Amino acid sequence: MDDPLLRCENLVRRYRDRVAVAGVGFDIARGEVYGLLGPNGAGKTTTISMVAGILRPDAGSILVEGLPVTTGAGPAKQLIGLVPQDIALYPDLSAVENLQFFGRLQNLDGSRLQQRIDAVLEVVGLADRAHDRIDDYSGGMKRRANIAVGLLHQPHLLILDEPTVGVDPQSRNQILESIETLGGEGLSVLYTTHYMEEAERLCDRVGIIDAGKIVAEGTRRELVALVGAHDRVHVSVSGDAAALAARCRTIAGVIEVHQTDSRLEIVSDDAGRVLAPVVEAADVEGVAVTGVDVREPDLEAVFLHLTGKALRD
Amino acid sequence: MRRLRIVVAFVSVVLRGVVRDRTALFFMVALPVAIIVIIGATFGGVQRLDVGVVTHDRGVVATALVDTLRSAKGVRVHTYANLESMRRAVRRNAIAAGIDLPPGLDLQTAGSGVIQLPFVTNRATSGSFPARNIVDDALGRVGARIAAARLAVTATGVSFPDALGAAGTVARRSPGVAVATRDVGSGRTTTLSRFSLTAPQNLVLFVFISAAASSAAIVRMRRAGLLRRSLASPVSAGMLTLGVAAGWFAIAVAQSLIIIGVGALVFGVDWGDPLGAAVLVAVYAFVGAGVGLLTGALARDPDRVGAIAPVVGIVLGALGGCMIPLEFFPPTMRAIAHAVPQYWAVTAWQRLVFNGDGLAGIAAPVAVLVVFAAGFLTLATVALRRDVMQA
Amino acid sequence: MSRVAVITRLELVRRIRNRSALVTAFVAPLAIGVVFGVLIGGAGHLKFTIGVVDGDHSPVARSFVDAVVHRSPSGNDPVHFRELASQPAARHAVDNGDVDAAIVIPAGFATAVMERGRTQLVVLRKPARPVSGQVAQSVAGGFGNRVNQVDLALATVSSIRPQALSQQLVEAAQQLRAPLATRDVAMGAREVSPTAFYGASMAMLFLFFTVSFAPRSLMADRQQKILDRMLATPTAAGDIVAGKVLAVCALSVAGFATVWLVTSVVFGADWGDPAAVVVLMVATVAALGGVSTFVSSLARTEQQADGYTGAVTFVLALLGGNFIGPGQAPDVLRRVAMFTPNGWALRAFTDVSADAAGVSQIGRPVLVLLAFAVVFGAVGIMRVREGVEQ
Repeated sequence: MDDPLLRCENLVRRYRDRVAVAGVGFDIARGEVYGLLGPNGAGKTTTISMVAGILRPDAGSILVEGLPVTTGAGPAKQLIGLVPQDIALYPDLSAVENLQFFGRLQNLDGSRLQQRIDAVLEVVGLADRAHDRIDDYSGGMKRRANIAVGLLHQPHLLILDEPTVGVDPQSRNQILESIETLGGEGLSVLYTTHYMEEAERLCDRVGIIDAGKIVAEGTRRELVALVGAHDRVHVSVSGDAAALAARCRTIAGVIEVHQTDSRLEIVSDDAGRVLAPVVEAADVEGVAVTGVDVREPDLEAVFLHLTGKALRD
Repeated sequence: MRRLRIVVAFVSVVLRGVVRDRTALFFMVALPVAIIVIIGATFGGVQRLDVGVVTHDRGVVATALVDTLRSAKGVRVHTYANLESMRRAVRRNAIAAGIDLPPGLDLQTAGSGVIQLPFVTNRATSGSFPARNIVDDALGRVGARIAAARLAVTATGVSFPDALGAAGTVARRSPGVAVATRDVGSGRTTTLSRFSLTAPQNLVLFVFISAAASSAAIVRMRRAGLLRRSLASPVSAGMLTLGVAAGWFAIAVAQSLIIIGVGALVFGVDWGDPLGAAVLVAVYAFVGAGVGLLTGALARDPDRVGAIAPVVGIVLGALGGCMIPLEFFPPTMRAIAHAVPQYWAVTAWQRLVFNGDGLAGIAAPVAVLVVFAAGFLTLATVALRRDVMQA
Repeated sequence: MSRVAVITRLELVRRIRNRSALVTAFVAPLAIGVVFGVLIGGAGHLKFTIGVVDGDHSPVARSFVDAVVHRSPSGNDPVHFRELASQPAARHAVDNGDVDAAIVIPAGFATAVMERGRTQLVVLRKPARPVSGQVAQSVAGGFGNRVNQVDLALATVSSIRPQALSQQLVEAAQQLRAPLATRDVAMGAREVSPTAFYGASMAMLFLFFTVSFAPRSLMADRQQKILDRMLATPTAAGDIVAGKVLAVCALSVAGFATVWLVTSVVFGADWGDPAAVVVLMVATVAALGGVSTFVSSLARTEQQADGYTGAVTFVLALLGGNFIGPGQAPDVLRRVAMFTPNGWALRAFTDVSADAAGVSQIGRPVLVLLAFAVVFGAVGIMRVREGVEQ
C-alpha cells in the first residue's frame, strides 16, 4: 500500500515464555475501517495495545503517518484515539470532567478543549446529560461516553477494542452506526471483534488473527474466495437419505454431496439453480424434506477453513 | 421453616464475605491481641520502673540516694552524666523520671536549708506518678538521716559526716514505717494480672470497631440490590433485618470469645463471674450488631465505611475509657463519657474483673447497654426498611 | 499545564470529593489527637479525695490527720482529704467511690513506732483506680517518713551520746524539716504538650492511609483500564505515577499542617520551632509515603492494598509508639521503634516540641527519614511503574 495511515511491521510481543503476538504486520489506509478478527486470546488486544503505544513491542515497528509510535510521550500518540473495551472512565466524575481530564492529557486546553467537548458530546448524543456522573448513566450511555473520549482530540486513527461486548442489541446497533458514519467521514478505524457479523458489516478489510499471527487478510470477498466461492445447501430429510444423495449427484450444477445420517450437504456454484431439482429428486425417491438451509460463504467459514477452529468459544 | 432457611442462607452469604476479608480478620483478632500485649506491657500496672539519676560526685548523700532507689522494689536506676542527657532519656521514655544530684551535695546537706533537687518527668506517661512517689520516698528516707544528723550535730557537737554515718547505722537497724496496700472489692483475693485493666478495654474497643467496619458488607449488599432481591422471596423486611442482626451478633460474640479466651489462657486475665461475663458479652454483642446494622443501613459508600468506621470507633472508644483509664478523665470528659456505650461496657467489665461483682452488680450498666442496643437496632430496622421500600 | 499537574489536580479533586480522604487526612488525626491530648493533658489536673482514718488516737496520728484535713487548701492542690470514722467506714467509702482511696492509721501505731516494732500504715484502694491508690500511698509514705525522721533523729542522738531525751530535744526533732525536696524541671527547654504529641502522632498514623491512596488509585485505574487510556495519550508512565504521588503528598502535608495549626491555635499546643516542624513534616510524609507505596506495591488488587496498608500501619504504629501514647515503653519496644520511620519522626517531633532541637539539630532524624523515603519509595515506585508498564 502506498502511503498508508498506519503501517505495522512484524510486531512481536512475549509475556514471559508465552508468545502473544508472533510477527503481526498490516497497513491501514486513510479512511479505511480495518477489522482485526479472531477469538479471545488470539492476540488482538496485545496488538492494539502496541499500536496505541501502551505496550512496547519486543520487535517490529509501528508508524502512524510516518511517525513512530512509542510508549511514553511521543507525538504520534496525538494522532491515535483509543476506545478500550471496558468503560475506562472515572465513574465518580461527570462526562465533561472525564473529557476535560483526558483532553488535557492530549494537549487540549482552554476554549479549544471546550469546543471539542461540546462537539463530541453532540456526536455521541450526551449533550443534555454532560454534567451527570458516569455512575448514573445507563450501560449504553456509558459506552457512548467511552467512545467520546477516544474522539476528543480528533485522531486520525481510532482504535476500538471490542466496543460491543456485553451491549444490548439496540445500543449495539447505535454504536455500529456511529462507526459507519465516522468511517464515512474519512477517519481510519482499527476495529477488533470476535463477532463475525460486525466485521462483515463494518470493515473494508479484515485481518484474521489466530495464535498471534495474521493468517489471512483482505476484503470480505477476497477472503471468501479462499474457501472457494461455493454455496452450500443443507437438506434434512426423513427416508432413504443415501438414495437421495446418489440422485442429487447427477443434478447439473451440483459439485459435491456429503451425506450424514438424514442430512445432506450439497455444494454448488449457485444454490438457487439446484434447489428445485433437489426437491424434485426427493419427491421421486419418496423422501420427505423436513428442512432446507442455504448458506453463502462467510468469514465464519473462512475462519474455520484457515484455523480449523470455530470463532466463538 | 422455609423462610428461616432463606434467612439463614442469606445471612451466611453475607458473613462469608466478612470472614473472607482478611482485613476484617486482622481487625477482629490479630490487632486486639497485639494491642493487649503492648498496652498491657506499657500501661498495665507498673512491673518495672526505670528511674534516672545524674551523679556528679560519689558523695555520701548521692550514694545513699542511689542505693535507696536501687533497693526499691521493681526499680532500675540509670545514671546519666548530665541533666541534658537525662532529659532526653525522659523524652524518649527510656526512664519514667529522673533526678539531678548536683555536685557538692554533701556540703549543702550539712547546712540547714531545704535542698531542691531538679526532677524531670513526662507527666503524660503512666510511669510518671509512681516514679515520683519512689523518688519522694527515697528523698524522705535519706532526708530523715540528714535531718537526724543535723539534730545530732547541734545536740552533741560531732561533725556532720560522723553524725550522718551514725544516722545511717541507726536507720539500718530500724524497720521504719511500712505502707501496706489493700484492694477494696467484694471479697476478691486473687492477684490481678497486669493485663486485667487493658484486656476488657480492648474487648470493648474492638468489638465495636469491627462491627462497624464490617458493615461495609451490608452496604455493598444493599447497593447490589441483594437485600431487595431477597425480598422477592417470601421473607419480610423485618425478618431479614433480624437475620442480618443475628449474623452481626454472632460475629461480635465470636470476637469477644476469642479475646476473652486469649486473655484468660495467654495473659491470665480473670474475667470475673461467668454468668455476669456471659450476659455482658451478649448485651454488648447486641450493641455491636445494632451499630453494624445502623452503619450498614445509613452509609452509601462501602469503602468509606471501611475508612471512617475505625476512626469513629477509636474516638468513641477513647471517650468511653477504652484507651486511657477512666480514672484519668477530667470531670467534663467523664460526664461526656456517659453518652457512649463503651463507657458503660468498660464500667461493667471493671466491676466484674476488679470488684468481683456478679450479675446484680452490673445490672445498671447492662441496662443502659440494653437501651443502646435496642435504640440502634430500632433505628437500623427503620432505616433498612425505608431503603428497601424505596425500590 | 504539565501532564503531571493535570493528573495531580484530578487526583486531588477526586479525593476531596470522596470525603473519606478528608476524614483520613484531616478530621481523624485532629479528632483523635485532640481527644487523646485533652484526656492525657487532663491527667495533670486530676483531683483526688483521700479518706483518712485515725484508728490510733495518738498525738502523732492526730496531728497528721489534723494537718491534712484542716490545712488551708491552696488553689491548685490536687489532693483533698476527708476524715473517716473507722476502717470499715473507709472500706465502704472507697467501694462506693465517696473517696478515691483511704489511709488508715491502725490502733497501736504510735506505740509500735516508739518500741521499734513493725509498723504499718494501710492504704485502701480500688484496683480499677490504681492512680488514686498511688496518691494515697505517696501521702502515707510521706507521713511514714516524717514519723521515721523524728524517731531516727532521736535514736541517732542517743546512739552518739546516750542520754535521756529532753523535752526540748524531742520538740527539736519534731520540728526538723525534710531536708530534701524535688523541683520540677521541664523535659526540654519546655514541657511537651500532650496535644502536640498526640496531634503529631495521629497525623502520622493516618498518613499511611492517605499516602496509600496513590498506589491504590493506580491499581483501580489499571483494573478499570483507565490506565491504558492515559498511556494511549502522550503521557509517560512516570508522569502518571508522579502525578498521583504528588497529589497524596500534597494532601498529606496539608492534613499534617492542619493538625498543627488547629492544635496550636485552638488548643494552644506548642510544637516548637516552626521551621523544624515544617522540615520534619515534609520528611515524615516522604518516609511514610515511601513505606506505604512499597507496601501497596506488593498488593495485586485495591482491596489487598487496603488490607496490607491497614495491617502494616497498625503494626508500625504499635512498634513506633504512635498508638499507645507515651507510656513507659519496654526496652525491646523502644529498640524496635528505631527501626520504624514513625518511631524516628515521633522522637524528633518530641524533641522539637520540647524545644530541645531546632531546625539545625534535626539533621539525623531527617536523614534517616529521607533514607526510608528513598529506599522504600524507589523500590515501591519501581514496582508500581513495572505494573503500569506491564
